[in-house]
Amino acid sequence: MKIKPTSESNKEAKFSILFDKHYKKLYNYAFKILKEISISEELVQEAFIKLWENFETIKDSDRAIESFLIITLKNKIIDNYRKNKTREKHNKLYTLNVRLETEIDKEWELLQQIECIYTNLEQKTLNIFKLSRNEGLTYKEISIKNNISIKTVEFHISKALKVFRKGLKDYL
Amino acid sequence: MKHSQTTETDLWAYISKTVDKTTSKKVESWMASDAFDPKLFEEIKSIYDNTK
Repeated sequence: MKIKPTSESNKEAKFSILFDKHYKKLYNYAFKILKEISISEELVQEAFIKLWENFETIKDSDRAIESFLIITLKNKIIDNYRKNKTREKHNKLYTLNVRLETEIDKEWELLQQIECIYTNLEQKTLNIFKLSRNEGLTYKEISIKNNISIKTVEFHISKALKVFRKGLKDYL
Repeated sequence: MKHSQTTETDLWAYISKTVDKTTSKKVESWMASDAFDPKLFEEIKSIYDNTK
């Protein structure tokens, strides 16, 4: 037998009884899983709205109504969980994206700054620094190659390092 | 700049692996001492890494 209220007011009265009868149990069930008052209340309300919308099509038995409400609430909880997971995933992706962009920007700025320092280094200092950095030559090897003293090599390396330390102070 | 007889150029040679044995020992001894300046070490290492 289906629920067949004779009038709209009968439907409301019947629904009100069902609401009072099942609300607490459903709410407790939702809260046990969700641990949040407002979302538990919201999902239980939505389950009752669905009951209201399908009132005439549900068998008029306590068991059928309770079963309908429980299944509806379970589905609402699952949907809510999925929505949260998706939101969480999007938030994580957004945060990661922002962090990556910041890192890329900073890396780019650093490269620009290094390029700028290289451009502004005195030619002799630049050559000696690059022989050390890029060719991996010792100070002695550089001194022989350029026919200068080791002290002079060290002077230029020190000069370059001072410029780099000053110019890259925000990045080091 | 002197750091207990260890200079930026000593550190640079050490970090760039172009250091001679004497300087290497000097730097390592400095690193084990109270005079060790980790900030300076990291700065020089960072310059080495970033100028690659």
